[in-house]
Amino acid sequence: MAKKMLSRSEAKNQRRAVIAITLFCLPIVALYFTFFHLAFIDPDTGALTLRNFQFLYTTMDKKLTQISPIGPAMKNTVLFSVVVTACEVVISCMAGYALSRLRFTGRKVIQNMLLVLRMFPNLLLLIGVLYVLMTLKLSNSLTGVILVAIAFRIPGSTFIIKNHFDGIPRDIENSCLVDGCTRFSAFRQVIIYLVKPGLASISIFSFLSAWSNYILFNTLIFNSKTPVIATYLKSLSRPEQMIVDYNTFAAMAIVYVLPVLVFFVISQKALMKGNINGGKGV
Amino acid sequence: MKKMQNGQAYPFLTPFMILVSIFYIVPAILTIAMSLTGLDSSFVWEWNNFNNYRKILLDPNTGKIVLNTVVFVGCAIALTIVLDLVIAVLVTYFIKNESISSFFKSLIMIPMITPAVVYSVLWIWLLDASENGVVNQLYMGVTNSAIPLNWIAKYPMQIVVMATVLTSLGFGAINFSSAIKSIPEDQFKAARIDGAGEWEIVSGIILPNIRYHIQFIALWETLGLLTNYVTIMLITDGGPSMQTEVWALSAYHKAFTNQQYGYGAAISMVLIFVVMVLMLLLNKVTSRRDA
Amino acid sequence: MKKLLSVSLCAVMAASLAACGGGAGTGGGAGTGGGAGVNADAGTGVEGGNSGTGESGGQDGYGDVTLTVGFNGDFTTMVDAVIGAADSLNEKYAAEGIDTRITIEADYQTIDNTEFHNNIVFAHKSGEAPDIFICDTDVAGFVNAGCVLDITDVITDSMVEGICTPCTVDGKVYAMPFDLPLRVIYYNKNDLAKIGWSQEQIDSLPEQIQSGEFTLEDFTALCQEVVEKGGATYGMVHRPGAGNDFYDLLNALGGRYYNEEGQLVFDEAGITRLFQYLYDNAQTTKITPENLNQMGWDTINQMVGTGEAFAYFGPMFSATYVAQAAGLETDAFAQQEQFVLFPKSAYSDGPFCTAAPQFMSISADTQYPELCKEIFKELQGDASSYLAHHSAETYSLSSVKAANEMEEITSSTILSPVTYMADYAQHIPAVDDATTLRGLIFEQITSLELGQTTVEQAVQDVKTQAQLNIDKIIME
Repeated sequence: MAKKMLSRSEAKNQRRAVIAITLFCLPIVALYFTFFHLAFIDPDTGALTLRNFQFLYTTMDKKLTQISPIGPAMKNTVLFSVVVTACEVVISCMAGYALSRLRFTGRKVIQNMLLVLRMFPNLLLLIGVLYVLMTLKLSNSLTGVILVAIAFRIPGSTFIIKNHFDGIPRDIENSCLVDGCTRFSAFRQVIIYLVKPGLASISIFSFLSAWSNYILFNTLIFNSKTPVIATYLKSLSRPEQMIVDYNTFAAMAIVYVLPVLVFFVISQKALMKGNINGGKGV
Repeated sequence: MKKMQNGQAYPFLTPFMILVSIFYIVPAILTIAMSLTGLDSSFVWEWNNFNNYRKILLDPNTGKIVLNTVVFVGCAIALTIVLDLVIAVLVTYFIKNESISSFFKSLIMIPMITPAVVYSVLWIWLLDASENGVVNQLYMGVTNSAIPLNWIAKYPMQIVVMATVLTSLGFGAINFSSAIKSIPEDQFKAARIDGAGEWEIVSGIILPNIRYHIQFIALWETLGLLTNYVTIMLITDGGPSMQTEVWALSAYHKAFTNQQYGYGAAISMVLIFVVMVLMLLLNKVTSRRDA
Repeated sequence: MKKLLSVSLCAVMAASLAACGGGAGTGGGAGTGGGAGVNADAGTGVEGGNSGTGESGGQDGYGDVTLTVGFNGDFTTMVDAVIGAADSLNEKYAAEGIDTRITIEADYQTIDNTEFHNNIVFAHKSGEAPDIFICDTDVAGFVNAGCVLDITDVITDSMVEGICTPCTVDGKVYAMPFDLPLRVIYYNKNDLAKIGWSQEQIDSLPEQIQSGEFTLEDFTALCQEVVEKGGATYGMVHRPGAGNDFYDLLNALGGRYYNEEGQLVFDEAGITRLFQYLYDNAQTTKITPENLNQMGWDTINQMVGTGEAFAYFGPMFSATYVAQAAGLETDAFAQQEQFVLFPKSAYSDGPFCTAAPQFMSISADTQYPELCKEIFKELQGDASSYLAHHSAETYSLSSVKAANEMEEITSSTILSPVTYMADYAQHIPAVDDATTLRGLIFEQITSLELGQTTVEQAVQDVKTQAQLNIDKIIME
């Protein structure tokens, strides 16, 4: 939309709308603000403190147990999120490209399958998945969870990527193929065109969901040898008994949420664009 | 001329197909098989003559759980759609300033990106039953009441619905907002020249234009709410007693808390069937919207 | 080309089906080994695994061995005891010239008991099980799943009599009790002083309860009196989750949940009394806060520790949390808190308390069954001081006779006044599906205390659910 002066009534409406939506957002902002307050302010003195952040580097004594530092959990979470995002993007790009551009036997079948799978209630299959992992000797390992996490998300992202491919002119690719490129290099050419909106949106969503994944780790990992921040936090905050106090928990939550928040703010523009251009059935 | 490109296509599709077969198709077959057995923690696969399905029908709690599910999904959907529309209209139609509107759009999405483990504790802490709870401090301040309320015990369903709605707002609002943006400006101009008020523009132009989007989001969110139990599990875990136990959560509880894997699988199968029907509907709506 | 596709699709499907079949196969195989609820089979399966792996060791020692310990909960002194026993064994081996050096690698968790139970079962199914792990009260569940090793031969006379009852299934012992905590009632003596009781009266109450003179009804009335006279805000509180504590109350009210054969029983009259009692406490006399079950442990522990709530029933080890919540050292806490037996009631025969030991089990899949057993034997013998330490730390008596004589227990201000209770302790057998029933009962207790259901309705609901979900339950 071109920049233009707003009429007086439009300006007035905009002001009202801003007020209305601010009122709506205020509780959300307040909620998250209190987290910072809890984490950084000493409840006794009211002064700024960093002592709630000890879990970053040292073992803390709380209640009757010791709380190990967050390091390994952080490492696993980062590893998990990065690997899942990378694999998911690559695999779904390849599949989406084939489905959109190539003619092959069984295409219709796979396309229909995709329609069902992209919103299949995969969480209800967890019992079956656990069995499969046990058979493959992959249960209780990060590799197993990574595979499941990728598998659970690729139908959805393949669908999105396929729609983006559908919207890209074939000319670039065709001229490339005429020049004697292989399919793979043609694929790369198209991918570059895609990079901006579609790829951004699937990788962002993939990363966000991988970062906060809890249920897969809770069900498919049997000991605390492979902690991620989600299970680490959960084990310290059972509903009937908080093992850490809320101040420390808030500090941990900030360490957990801040990276995604920053990542989200940076990527937010790309995300919105991706939604507008390829908004078909995200 | 239709030339097949199998040799080129299959390498592209292989990783996708392998993962999907191992983690969707096989578990799906396993779940169907399991639902017909009395599988429990001794892991014996033994055909039990549809006993699990009979159990579902006989269990007096089934009615309660169905009702909970309907109430939960119904309320959450209605609230989500209405709020989504209000937000989308506010940030796209009324707020013309791009940076202000995208600022609010990202604010709305914060609950969505907050990991469930943190988000649920946030609610539990907020609604703490003692006089130290944030909501209780507000409540006691406003009403001058001396007794703190136990919110999660008193209004479990309302709280679970509210918490869920907040997380699902972002997605629908963004979707509607981009739909509104794609409405040609001429339509608004013409309406204004005809002397239409703002309300008439919203109800006469915006709503009809995005009706397929509304249907789509409604169905999509219904699917999500029916099957995703993580938020409820972390906030109330179905309690107190059965008041927030929804269908998907009860499948999880039967399987992983009571170790009745066969029974849990049967409950899952029922839900999967319902979801399949909804999916057909959704695909119809999608094809109509994109047409 | 079409052929190629169908061939490849078939290959994928075949592979996945094979995987599926394999899954079913291994599952079934392990299952038959473990026995489908026929516990005798489970025993043989387990022993088979034992003799198969037992030979791998050799006579001259095992070399460097790492044993993994899976632990869930807060009382890590249990793991310390295992580590201590291993060290003590290592010294002996070194002295005798046997080439075995044990290293213990512990995995500490603080998750829900049910989740931990499932994790252990799944870990066994996928061959990732720890060699030694903490075993919850659902020993029968582990036995049915074929996870635990028969350790009957490990238990010697040095253990307190009857203590292995809860971990005995079909005459075989599957876990070793590490302590002997008692489930009792405890109350705050300061609250009694506040309502005008003399020191003499306060001191004589435990004896009156022990003799059966002071009954449960009297005690409930006392709770009410304390509240009415302003001694405390609440009279009696309990745990905020499903637990065996409620079975104790059922017993105190003359009900039962298992019969002489150790089968699960639904005692309608008893459960009605239990529900009526809890309902009255929460809704009629209001000595229990109605939303107790939503309060969370921290709040409740603090209420008990500060005397805001007068009495509590539960295991003595949870008193460690209470002391901590109140910020009291053990001695100061012993000053204010009195532990008593569950009093006799109009429906029961006499006062009692319940033994609620915590156990460790040896995995049926362990590569070193003999070494694990040696560790358990060592704990009953030369390493029993570690168990004494564990017991003293967790306010419980010890499961080993010798440890009960040790300084650390005899000098404890908490434990020395309660040693007499060991004579009143009931050792309850492992009952199949008792956890399911207790879950059902607790669900109704929550609603009852909130006033959302009636006693009759609650009993009916538990009954229907029990009949539906528990195959072998006897209705009384």
